[in-house]
Amino acid sequence: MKISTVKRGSVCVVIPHVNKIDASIAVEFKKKMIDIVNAGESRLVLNLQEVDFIDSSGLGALVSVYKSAGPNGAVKLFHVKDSVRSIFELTRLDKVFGIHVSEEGAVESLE
Amino acid sequence: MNRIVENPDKVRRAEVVVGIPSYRESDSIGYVTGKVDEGLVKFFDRKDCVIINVDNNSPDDTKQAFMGQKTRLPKLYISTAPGVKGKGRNIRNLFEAAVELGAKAIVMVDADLTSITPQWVQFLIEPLYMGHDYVIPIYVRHKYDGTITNNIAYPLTRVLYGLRTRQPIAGDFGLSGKLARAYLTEKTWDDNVSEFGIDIWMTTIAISRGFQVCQTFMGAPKSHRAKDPGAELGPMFYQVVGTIFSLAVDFEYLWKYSAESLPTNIFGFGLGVREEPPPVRVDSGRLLKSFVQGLIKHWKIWTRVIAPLNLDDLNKLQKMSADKIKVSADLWARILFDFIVAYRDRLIERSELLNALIPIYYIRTLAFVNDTRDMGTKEAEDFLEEECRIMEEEIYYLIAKWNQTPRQDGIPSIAQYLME
Repeated sequence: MKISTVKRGSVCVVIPHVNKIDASIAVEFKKKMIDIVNAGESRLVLNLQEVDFIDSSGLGALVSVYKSAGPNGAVKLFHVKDSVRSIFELTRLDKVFGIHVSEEGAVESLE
Repeated sequence: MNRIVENPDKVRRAEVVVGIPSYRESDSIGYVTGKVDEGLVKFFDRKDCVIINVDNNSPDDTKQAFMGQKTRLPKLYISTAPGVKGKGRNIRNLFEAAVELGAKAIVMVDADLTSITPQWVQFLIEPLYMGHDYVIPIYVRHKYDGTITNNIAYPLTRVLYGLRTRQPIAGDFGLSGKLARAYLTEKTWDDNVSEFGIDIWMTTIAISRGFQVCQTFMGAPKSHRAKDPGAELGPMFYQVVGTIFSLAVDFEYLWKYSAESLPTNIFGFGLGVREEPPPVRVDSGRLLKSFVQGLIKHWKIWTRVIAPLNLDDLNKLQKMSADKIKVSADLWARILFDFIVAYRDRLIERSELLNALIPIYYIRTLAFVNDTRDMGTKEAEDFLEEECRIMEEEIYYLIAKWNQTPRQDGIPSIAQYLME
């Protein structure tokens, strides 16, 4: 799986180039994301525009990343499709990860 | 259900009933009976009281030890039919007897207690006269005593039902006559409940059916026949855990919508207990060995049940030395949730599934021992509270997996429903 990153000030914008984050790639996804955190990026904004589906393992990986970011870090989401948004809302994780409409809004929330 | 009843005092009515479930407890039941009698005479002398031994027709002298114990109050002996065993069956006999006697307050205490005082009876009964239906004890236990409680029963009760009841499988409880009648008509009774699943079943039913639940300080550490947590678990593990999992399936409508857990009302206060509970020895090497053996034996089941994300972390443990083992609370919670969903779907035959969980429970126990090795009782308790809080945060994983995994029981998941 490919993940690209772009810096916006002190915030790192991350784009996972996959259409689903599920059990089959959760281990790899988590590792790559934690590598980004370990490289010093603890304020992350995820662009989920390509993601159509996320399962429990994908959520688990994201929560692990959130925890790895530490108390001064943060993980925000934007461009979240309805099918993905619904699972965040069902599990109440939408309150943990702020879900934003645009990249600007997500980045601004961390600055 | 056939039962054997000996009622030499011809007891027909009783407002307060204390039951002592037993099987092969001839060496300890006399002491417990004596303390119960002292407590009832001292604190409830104006009420009609009876002490009942509910037994599994023990082949030793349990009945003789109970009936032969000198007491001021009447005693009743009730046994299941010869060959019929199970703690739950004893307790069902107690419920039936208590309802027949018209009891308002019912207490049960384990027959192997060595730390019971007359006040325990008072502490378990008094809240019932103040409007509570179910009274759960709080007592100091050694940090390594009650590892099924600490690692599974307590955290899952918090996570699933939103109420912090520290000793949900304590074995010593108080309950109202109203709750006893409700237990007798409850539909969720099954074979596991008839045995060691009874304690967690009573607690879960009391909470989930909306009865008034409280905890009460007992004032002395619990002292009984404690076991090395690495010792053979036998059927107790899968009866208790199987009951928790079965009830999680029955009560999904509760936990899916429960918020953070709340503390339970506490009756009394800490009483300044300074007495240390008796030590429990742990064989760390045996716990690790059991895990590694279990990994080899159950690997195929684990790969079917446990999500790769969690299995990956679990697999790394086999290369660590016993004193370095860590199993984080969030990983442990997600593994339990993987097993609950597999249990719901009967992915594996249920007893086999629960047996496959035991080695992971052992390694989690070892991790807890490592984390708390240098802690006193209070610090270890604070540590466990934080672990439970972390486990509560993982509820999203269960909700997502529960909804996204196609159900095998004919009930469509939300995902299936939306796709149709």
